[in-house]
Amino acid sequence: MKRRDFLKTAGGALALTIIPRSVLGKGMIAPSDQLTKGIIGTGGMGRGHVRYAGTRLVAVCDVDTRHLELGKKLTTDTIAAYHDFRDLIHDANVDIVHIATPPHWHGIMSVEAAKAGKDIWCEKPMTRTIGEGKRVMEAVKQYGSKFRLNTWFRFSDTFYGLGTPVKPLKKLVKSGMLGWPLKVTISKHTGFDWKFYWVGKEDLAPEPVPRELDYDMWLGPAPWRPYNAHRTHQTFRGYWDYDGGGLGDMGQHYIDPVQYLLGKDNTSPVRVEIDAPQQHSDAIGTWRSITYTYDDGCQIVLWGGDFGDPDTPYISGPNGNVYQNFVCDIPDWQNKLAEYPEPEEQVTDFLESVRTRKDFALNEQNGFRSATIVNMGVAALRLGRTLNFDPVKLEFIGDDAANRLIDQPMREPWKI
Amino acid sequence: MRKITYLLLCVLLLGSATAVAQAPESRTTTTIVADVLAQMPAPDSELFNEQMSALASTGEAGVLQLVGMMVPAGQGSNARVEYALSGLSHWVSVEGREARRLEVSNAYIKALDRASDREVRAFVIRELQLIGGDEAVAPLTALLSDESLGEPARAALAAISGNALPAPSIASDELAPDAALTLRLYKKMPANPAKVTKELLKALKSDDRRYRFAALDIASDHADASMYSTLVGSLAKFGPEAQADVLNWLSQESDLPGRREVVAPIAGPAAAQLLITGDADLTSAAAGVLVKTGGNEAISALTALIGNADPQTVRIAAIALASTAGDVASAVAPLVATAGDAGKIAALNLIAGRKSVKNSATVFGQLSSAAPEVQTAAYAALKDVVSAADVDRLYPLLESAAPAHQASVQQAITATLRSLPAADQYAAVLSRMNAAAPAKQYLYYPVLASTGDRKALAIITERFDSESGAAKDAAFDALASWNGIATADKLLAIAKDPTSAAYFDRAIARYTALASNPSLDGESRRSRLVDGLDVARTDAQKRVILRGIATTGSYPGMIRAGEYLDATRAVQQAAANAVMTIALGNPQFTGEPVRVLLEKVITVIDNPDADYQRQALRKHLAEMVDVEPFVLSDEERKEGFTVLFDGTNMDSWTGNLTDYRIQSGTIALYPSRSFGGNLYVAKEYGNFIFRFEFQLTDGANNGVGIRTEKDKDAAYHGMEIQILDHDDPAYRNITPLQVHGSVYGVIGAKRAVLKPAGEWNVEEIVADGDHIKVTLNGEVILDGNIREAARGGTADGREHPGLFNKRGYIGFLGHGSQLKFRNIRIKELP
Repeated sequence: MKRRDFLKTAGGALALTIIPRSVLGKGMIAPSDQLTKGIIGTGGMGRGHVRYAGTRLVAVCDVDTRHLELGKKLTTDTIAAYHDFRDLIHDANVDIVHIATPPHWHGIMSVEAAKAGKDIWCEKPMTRTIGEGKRVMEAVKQYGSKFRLNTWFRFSDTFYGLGTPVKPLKKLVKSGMLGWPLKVTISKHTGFDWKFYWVGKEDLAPEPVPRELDYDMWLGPAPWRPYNAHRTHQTFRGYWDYDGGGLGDMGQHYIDPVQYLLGKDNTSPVRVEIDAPQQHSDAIGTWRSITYTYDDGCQIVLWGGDFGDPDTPYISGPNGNVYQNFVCDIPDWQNKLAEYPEPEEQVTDFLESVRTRKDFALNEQNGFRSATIVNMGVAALRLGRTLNFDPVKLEFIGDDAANRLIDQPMREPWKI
Repeated sequence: MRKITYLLLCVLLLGSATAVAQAPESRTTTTIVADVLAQMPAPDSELFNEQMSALASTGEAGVLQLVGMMVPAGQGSNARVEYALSGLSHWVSVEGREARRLEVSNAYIKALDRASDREVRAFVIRELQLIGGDEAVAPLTALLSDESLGEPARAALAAISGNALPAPSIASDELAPDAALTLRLYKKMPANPAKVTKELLKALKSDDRRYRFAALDIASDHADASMYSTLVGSLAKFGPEAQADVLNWLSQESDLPGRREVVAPIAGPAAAQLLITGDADLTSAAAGVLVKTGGNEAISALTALIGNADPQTVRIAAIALASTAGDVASAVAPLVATAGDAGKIAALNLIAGRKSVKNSATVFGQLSSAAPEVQTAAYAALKDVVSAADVDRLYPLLESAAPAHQASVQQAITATLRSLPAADQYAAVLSRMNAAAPAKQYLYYPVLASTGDRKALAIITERFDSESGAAKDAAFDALASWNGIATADKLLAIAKDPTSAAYFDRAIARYTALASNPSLDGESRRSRLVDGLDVARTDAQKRVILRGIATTGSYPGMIRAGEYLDATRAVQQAAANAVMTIALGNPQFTGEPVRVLLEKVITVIDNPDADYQRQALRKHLAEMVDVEPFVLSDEERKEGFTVLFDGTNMDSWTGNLTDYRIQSGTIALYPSRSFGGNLYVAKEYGNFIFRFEFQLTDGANNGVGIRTEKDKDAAYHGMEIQILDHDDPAYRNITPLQVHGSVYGVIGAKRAVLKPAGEWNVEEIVADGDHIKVTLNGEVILDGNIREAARGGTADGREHPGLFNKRGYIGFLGHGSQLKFRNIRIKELP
């Protein structure tokens, strides 16, 4: 019997109450009740996100032996250490597969984990193409897995420059007091930094591959190019083959809560416009603005660097505006808002999601939609032009080249 | 840019009397390619489209020439060629440019044969992956067996065939057992909705929750009203777990576009029935459905749970009601009398949450509850339900309430003040306070403070100084709660005063918060924060203040923060961040002290992004020029030179002052639209010696206009002394008449070696009557007479109506490239 089945038949929530929390101390969960997880990718991200309550680390995996050694030291327990992620995914001791690799691996690993009957905790961005995101969404559904995308602002934590969690913002938006359609501006001036140091370098000279690194496996589905240290590890985000620069890095953090705020979790914008210098075919550069428009006229406007009007509200609507630090210009808005209901509760504990199989607050469905916004922006940025999108068919309209960026071929033998 | 075109053309037509066409399409491929490369990467889409349209006009020849320029990785830069080619691919891939796309694709195919380097060929194949069509299939197929290019060729073919991610064909035996089960289920379902419903009902009988949930997920794509009804009608046949699954699923379904109207009437009544079964998961699931359903039925069903004895059930109901639209407060208010304590508290919170003034009597009624938690909830709810009518009850309540509830009453009174005009609030509170016994007056301080009246502040300040004990505490709290900078000085004084040491931590924390208010300008924040830093004691206090200083953009703030770069780690990091943030955001802060501080920051900074920050700091340092205003040498001063640009101001200049701007003591040109325009010396000159320094970027192109008319083409309406990075590969094919220093179209200069990008070139232009002399880095590269050169027509065969202008403007002529100038001075000749 698998561990999870045991937990299930033992009564799930009931089993949790056998050892009271008070006995173990605040925040502690009895070891036998902990779900187990394995981390793929024990570079900076994988090591940084190791300690979330309620799970026990039983396996790590990395294609760089230095990272793997560091990964083994994440716990004092003796744990399994793998070179090939497939071995970790098929390890019967692992309940939850935590994917902390560069994004070009997220799609394949998520699908493989779902096929192996695992639940998935995946770092953002969910995938680096719209097509792979769709595959992940389908696979999670087909194989009945639970999926958590690891950004959290739609349900917890202070939301950057807004100085508040997203929930009260959601209440205000949902009340309709601001009117409709709304425009959301994500810029340095509204409290969001696009991390423009995630840019690539052109003309990388070939370098010898370090002995510790299995470069072929690091690349996996990505096109083969001569190795240069700048492509990998801490700086991979600057290259289209693996990610989407500052937009790829921060996009889901910033945009996912906006999808939630606007109630767009089941759809996507119909147009993306770009204002940017021409982009290189390999190395990612910076941009001035990216504007998304939904079919009802709602807009999300991203300003890079210092661009954009410093006085722009975070949310602007026909009847009112919301500025940084949750300043709203509707007179007496707090009192007026009281008559409206609170936003609906979200499942914010992934372990609850895994045990009850309720969808996690940020799952494969809404996570795919917010990743799609990022990837629409990436496509428009790469091609340097406005793109129109069909949110149902999930394809660009009248743009064959843009559609070739939706489904990108993978290097053999990798497939999703 | 344009001038190279014309010059080339003129050279080609030299000796012919034919008038020269000016249309761009008459440029040669080589010229167009060179011009395009000089503009790569295009700064915006307008220039991009202009350049790519020109490049596309060269057809196959341009592509072949560009691919021919590419070098193996590590042996030079391909960047601009890659920008040009991938830009071209993007441009021709726009719908409606099929003929161009085909032409470029065929050119790539041809280039693939000619190129030999693996990476160059892989680059071309990746372009075909984006724009290739049927024409590319055969040539790419031929490469499939190539050891190193087979893989990119296969990928390109997959993209071209629209089969980039072929649908997975998975045999169930490759899967984990339960994944195999769900896959089989998935394959069984897509036939028709009726069949899906049948399979779903079967699946829901499974003991495996994962299997049940997968079935529901899969069914979602086919769900309709009939499926929902069938499912809801069958709920009684399932166990509580599966019932909860179905209800949770119905909640999710109702969030899909257009489904709520379908789901709600079917699911609502069923959920209401399953609300109280004793199974918490099921109750929670049913409550979730009712939240989506909404309406009075949902409210009354959920409200009934508030009276339930089980606190967990009450909690579920309270959460659901909070998220339900409608008059929830009035629905739950009657239950407050009869419900258990948990129910009472939940109801009070709901009434408060909706700020339900009409149910204030219910709240007042519970102020005397025997249960302390209920009492606390009632007091806490007061501020949300009171109105002006309650004022006379609240003041006595303030004096009689237990200390634990005093703050709640104070907030409630404050809430009632909102109904009074701002000017009357202070007087209203003051009269009540003065009527109170002296020993009770301190209870009024926070309310007094909430009026924001300066007279109130004076009273509270006075009371803080004169009172002791609880009254002094209350006066301090009132000071600390004051909304605005007016209390800052008093708080700082309290922090500095040893006799009020007990308030130190709170005073400094509040002072820092007030001093960091972004509505104050940077220098005001800096001066207050620095005062705070003088008295701060703990690392935490210093850190918060340094974080505030980081946002001031203040030079003295940066210097002050720099004093903490050797402090304990936490303080040091905050200081390093402050210095870095201010320095990077204010490139005008230059000089040795800044340099020393930033070098120090580079050594101490330590955080996950530190590598990038160090990179940014090194770049900043490298670009930082300590601006000492340029001054003439003694010699030049004696000779009578005048400074036109000393690095600090543009007073002597006119024209495009947006694209040409001061940067670290230079005039830097960052072309925004088109070519960046022209920058002129404000005064006109006839004969002169013009000295300046310039710094090129790769492929830079500019020019010095002399004796020219403003905003006309200086090359013809005056003279243009060429500035050009003529050794850049983009200009491989230029003629001697186009090199740097030439009098454009009239006299060619000697081809000199310019300093590489980033280094300064020194130039002198002497214009004395018809005699023109250009000296670059000490070497005379042009020395000629324009009248002689133009005898019998200029070399370019063009009219130069301004060639013999007696006087005119001197200016820098933008051609779309970035470059810099400095140390500009002039001497007028008789």
